[in-house]
Amino acid sequence: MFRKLAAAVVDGPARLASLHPVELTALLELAWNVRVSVPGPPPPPTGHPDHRSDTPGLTIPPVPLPVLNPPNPTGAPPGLANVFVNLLVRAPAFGGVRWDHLIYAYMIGNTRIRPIFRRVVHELLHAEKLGAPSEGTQLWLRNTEELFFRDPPPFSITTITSSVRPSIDTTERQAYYRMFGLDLNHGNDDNSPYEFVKVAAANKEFVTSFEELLRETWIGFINLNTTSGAKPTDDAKIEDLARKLNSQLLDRRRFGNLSRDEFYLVAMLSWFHMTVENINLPIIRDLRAEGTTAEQVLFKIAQMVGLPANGLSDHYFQVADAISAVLIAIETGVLQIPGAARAFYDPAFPNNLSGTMNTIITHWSAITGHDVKAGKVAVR
Amino acid sequence: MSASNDPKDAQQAPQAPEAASGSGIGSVLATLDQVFSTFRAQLQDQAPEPFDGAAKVAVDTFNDIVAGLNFRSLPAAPEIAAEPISSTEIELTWTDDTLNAEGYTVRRCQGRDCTDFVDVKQLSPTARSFRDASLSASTTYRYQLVAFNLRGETPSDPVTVTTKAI
Repeated sequence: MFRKLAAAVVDGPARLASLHPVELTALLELAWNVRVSVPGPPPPPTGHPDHRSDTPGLTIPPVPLPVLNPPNPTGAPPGLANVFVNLLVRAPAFGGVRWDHLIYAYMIGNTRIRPIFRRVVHELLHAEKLGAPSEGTQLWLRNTEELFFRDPPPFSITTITSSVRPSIDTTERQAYYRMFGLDLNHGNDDNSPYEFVKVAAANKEFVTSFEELLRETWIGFINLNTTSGAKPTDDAKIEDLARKLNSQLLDRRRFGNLSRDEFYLVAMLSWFHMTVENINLPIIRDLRAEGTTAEQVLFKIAQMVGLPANGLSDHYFQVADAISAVLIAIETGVLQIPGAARAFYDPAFPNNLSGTMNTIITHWSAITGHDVKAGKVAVR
Repeated sequence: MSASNDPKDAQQAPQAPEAASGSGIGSVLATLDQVFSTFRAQLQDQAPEPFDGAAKVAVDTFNDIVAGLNFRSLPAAPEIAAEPISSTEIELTWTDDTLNAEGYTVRRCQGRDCTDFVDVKQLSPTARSFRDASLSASTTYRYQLVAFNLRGETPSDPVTVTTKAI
């Protein structure tokens, strides 16, 4: 959410990072309020990508909020948030705000970016081991602490912890486990396993079905131009796997389940993703962590705080957007209609899905070690 | 089409006894090369099949999802200006602060009231000028700049400009 919002305006990351925490919270609330919601008839079931939830958000006060420039003897509001608000209020004209799929948060979370930045925030607030934060970094620091490392504001749509579920770490891992049958691949900071209750209602078949879809799509790719002999592309199987995945994912989302968790987790991980992607942000300059890729920046910061990042972080960063868009498309149901399978592997213009599938196949194989480009071997 | 260019004839050629035994292996290889070059040419010339039915719905939906995730609306119409640089060159310039376009297509037609625009060049989203060369002297052209993204295309109003005399 934050990362793509920032990318849509000039100098977005720096402007976003310099806002007041209440403005950022208001942007999230506004984004939730103008979410994609197709009226029908009949309206899609709650949980569907075009109707994620019926839970109401708060009406935010008229923008700009009474936030002052430092120092501001006139009391005039700076209105820095206006450019983002304008983007969001225009959203209903083109269908409404859509946020990334929970898989985006899972992929970025696997780089270990959040525990690493928790240490950064801790160091900057408690000691000067990382140097004194500049003014710009202090704004980022305040926002990061207030939005992601403190008790959430009451009644906000982003409040997904309480006395019933006090730990955001557990809430996060449970969401991933329920939706994908997967846990993050790192444990606690001391590398001990992170213990949490793994519920029975989890999509434990997700990985099997998804890898099968990638494998069948790859067969489609390599046989796209086959004009003679046998053509092993199995469109019916691709469509059936899309249907199976659609059913699994929407089953967890019935009545809008997990929508708020997804919204908050995607917003949180996209904030950290945005931070390591933009080396001109004061926090990155202050830490002297500039690098040519998000992975390099993360590695440098990880080294400073003594908590290693995932060695495959580059693959996670690269696959996150792609896999998010594809799973949303699968959840819409259009990819399981007979005749739709060709969209997975035929790159003819204006298809972007096939290129996205290619990206996923490459990075999924690297991340999981499961070579989906290799043919299946029958065991007798 | 001559007989030698007909793929069906060419495919049968290696089986002809005079080709296989009369001229030796060189002749056979030459024939095979001709066969495969014909297939290659056919594959290269084959226009991609347009998406229709369920595949088209799938492609359109996916493109729309990606556009939505990136806060892309239909791009705004760019405002362009055109200026003759010489007898053969015209320069187009434009401004676009929305960061909403994923690229631009320059279209041109010849004549003061022409409407048969053809694509001249596709440009990156960061481009803000384009110099069109190899034009005719003292000739009037109309230009249109089309901003596009995954949501669709928005053309600018056409501008009319005449190249300088020699």
